Order: sequence, then C-alpha cells, then structure tokens
Amino acid sequence: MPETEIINMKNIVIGLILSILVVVYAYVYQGLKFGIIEVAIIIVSWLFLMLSLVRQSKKNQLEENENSRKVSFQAVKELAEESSKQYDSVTKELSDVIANTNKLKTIILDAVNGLSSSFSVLAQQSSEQEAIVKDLINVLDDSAKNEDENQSGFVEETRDILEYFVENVTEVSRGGMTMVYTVDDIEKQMDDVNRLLTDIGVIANQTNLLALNAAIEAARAGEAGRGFAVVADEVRSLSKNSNILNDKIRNVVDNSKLNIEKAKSLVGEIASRDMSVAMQHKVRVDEMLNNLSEQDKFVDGKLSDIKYVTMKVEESVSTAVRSLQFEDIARQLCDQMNKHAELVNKNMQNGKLAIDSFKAGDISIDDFVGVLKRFNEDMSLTATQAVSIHSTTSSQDDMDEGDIELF
Amino acid sequence: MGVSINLSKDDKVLTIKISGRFDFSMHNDFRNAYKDNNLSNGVYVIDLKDTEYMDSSALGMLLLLKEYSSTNSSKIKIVHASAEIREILDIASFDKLFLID
Repeated sequence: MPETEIINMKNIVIGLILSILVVVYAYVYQGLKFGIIEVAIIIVSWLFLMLSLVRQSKKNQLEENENSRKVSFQAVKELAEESSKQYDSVTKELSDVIANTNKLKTIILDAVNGLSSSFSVLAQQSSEQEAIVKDLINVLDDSAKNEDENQSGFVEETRDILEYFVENVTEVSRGGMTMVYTVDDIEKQMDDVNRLLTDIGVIANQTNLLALNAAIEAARAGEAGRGFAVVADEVRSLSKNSNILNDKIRNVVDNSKLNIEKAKSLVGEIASRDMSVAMQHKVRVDEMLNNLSEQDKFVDGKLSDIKYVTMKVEESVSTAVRSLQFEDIARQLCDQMNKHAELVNKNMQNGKLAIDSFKAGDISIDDFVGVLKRFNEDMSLTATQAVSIHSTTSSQDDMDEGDIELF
Repeated sequence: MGVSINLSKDDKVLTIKISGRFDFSMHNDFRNAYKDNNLSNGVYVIDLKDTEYMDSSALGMLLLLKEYSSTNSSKIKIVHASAEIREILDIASFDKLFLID
C-alpha cells in the first residue's frame, strides 16, 4: 500500500475519533445537547476527512494518467518502429512496381512494334493478294465469257444442225409419202390395164370365133368361098397373135407391178425414220444449255465468295492495326501508375522522416501527431489525384473511336 | 390397232383415231380415211390418244393431209398426244403448222 494512502487513512481515523469524542462529550456532560462548537467541530472534522479523500482520488487519477501516458508513449514508439519498417518495405515494393511498370512498357512497346510491323506487312500482302485476285477474277471473267460464247455458239450450232436434220427428215418423209401415194395410184392404174387386157382378150376370142364361123361358111360356099376362107384364116391367126401379145403385155404389167411394189417399200423405208435419235439430241442440247447456265452461276458464286473473303481479310487487318493503338494507352497508363507510385513514395518518405525524428526524440509527440495528420491529408490528396489521372486515361479506353494510326 | 374413223352428222368433223404404231404400215388406211370422206370447210381431228409410237413417215402423212386439207378449206387439229409424241411434234415444229391440243 503506498504511503499517501496510509496518510489518508490516518486522517480519516483522526476525523472519526474526533467526531466520536465530541459526541461522547456531548452525551456525558450535556445530555446529548449539541452546542454550536460541537457541531462545528464535527463538520470541520468531516470536511477535513472528505477533503483528504478528494485529494487522495485526484492524486490517484493523476498517477493513473501518468502511467497510461507512459504505456501509450511506449506503444506509439513501438508502432512508429513497426511503421518505419513497413514504410521501408512499401517504398521498396513501390520501387519494384515502378521498375516493373517500366519493364512492362518496354515489353509492350517491343511486342507492339513486332506486331505492327508484321501487320503492316500483312496489310501490304493483303492488298497485293487482292490485286492478284482482282487480276485473276478479270482473267477468269474474260475466259468464262469467251468460253460461254464458244460453248453457247456450239450449242446454237448443234441446235441449228438438229433443226436442219429434223426438217430434212420431215421433208424427205413428205416427198417419200407423196411418191408412195403416187405409186399406189400407178398400181391401181396397172390393175386397170390388166382389166383392159382381159377385155381385149375377150374381143380376140370373139374375133377367133367369128373367124371360125367365117371359115365354116366359106367351106360351105365351096369354090366360090375359097378366097374368103383365106381371109378367115388370117383373121383367126390375128386373133391368136392378139392373145399372145395380150399375155406378153400382162406379163410386163405384172413384172412392173412387182417392181413398183419393191420401189414402194424402198421409198417407204426411206420415209420411215425413227425420231428418237433427234429427240435424244434435243435432250442433250437442253442439258448442255442447263449445264452452261449452272456453270455460270457456280463460277459467279465462287468469284463473289473470293471477293467477300478478300474484303473480310482487309477489314480484319485494319481492325488489328487499329487495335494496336492500345500500346499508346498502355504506355500512358504505365506512366500514370509510375507518377502515382512516386507520389505515394514521396509521402511515404516524408512519413518515415517524421517517424525517424520522433524516434530520435527530435520532435514531441504532439508535433508527431501533426506530422501524421499532414501525412494522412497528403495521402488522401494523392488518392484524389490518382482518381483524376485515371479519369483522363479512361476516356481513351475505347480504341474503336480513335483514328486509324499506322505504326 | 389401226385407223378408226368417225364422221360427225353434219359432215364437218372427221375424227381419225390412230391406235398402236403410227408408221408406214398405216399409210393406206390413213390416206383412205380422208380420201373416202369428203369435207368442206370442216375439221380433221387426229386423235393420238392410243398412239404409242410415231416415226417420220407419220409426219410426212400429216403434212400430206395438210396439203390435201387446203384443197377443201378444212383445218387440222391434233389431240391427246402423249408427252413423247408431243416432243416429236415439237422437234418438227408442227406446233407452227397444226393446232395441237
């Protein structure tokens, strides 16, 4: 127990004993009647007692304050030590960040230079390729046109030949059938001739009979009819000759009929041509025409495909070249990161200087608090600057809006 | 098989129907069909409904009928031709010379 407390306890005991003595005195000598003096003594002794109690508690509080002050000063010192170490490590890390950012800048620049040079070559080659494809397309177009003209000319010719062939066949058939019908008529006329020959034969036979009768009559007339008998004989032989001639003519007519029949069937054969060959050719010609137009469509389709692909390659190369502008933005971002890091670093160094001064006892804790407050203000100011730095770069984030810049 | 004939009551429409193959073997029957029935300002209807085949001699016969019909101011109408027969008629440009239904 500290000495001050013992003194206080003594004061309290004295106060209590004095009060009791006054009460006992009043009881014994005055029958519990308190005079002014007695009351004053009691009040004064109690005031003295309370005063010492108040003094005691004040003293205790002061002591406690002093102790806690000692403790917190120690803690601040420890914290300052710790902070100083951490400031060192943060400063080192920030230096690393700046170094890495610079390295990043260099790497991006190298990569972008490589990319942009190869994209420039690609763009150049793409336009060269386009020129070649255009030439090729023109040549193909021309040759396709020529080929079309040749082929369609050939098809037209074939069609003409086919038409000529069919026309000829039809005309031959028409002529042949005319001939056949004429021959039919001749055949009928031949039959008429035969019928006439039969009539002539009848007349000859009747003449023969008449001559026979005349010969009989001449014989009956005797010598006087001898001359007439000669005439009758001659008439008979004439009628026989006439029959022989008739038969010969009939033979000729029959032979003619056979020959005419042969001629008719020959002409009929000539007139009968199968039209399926012509039909097949017509189908072939139609197919060729179809194929030609399909080929045209196919070639046209492929040519427009090539044009489209070439256009797309060009577009992609342009987009790639435009996209390479990110290097510019990345470089700016790196610079700003470095600027920010340097600001932070500077603040850190100021903070560290303050801590070191505090540690060395060069400045009081109150000054140190002031320095810390300024440090905090600087840090929040740095944060505000960082925000404004970021807002100026973020406006360039969209590279599509930028102009195309060839590296 | 062969040629069948039908003459309208007013003697204006002569229908000649050819069944089977319309070729050289038909030439007499076909010719007789129009020679035996005289028309004047009438119509020859060639019915090819049952015609299976046709060669160039049939084309010749039709052309001769056309020549003949011009002597009696009559017309010729070809009906019921199958797709194949129609193709033959088209190749020979008969659609320009005849009415084809």
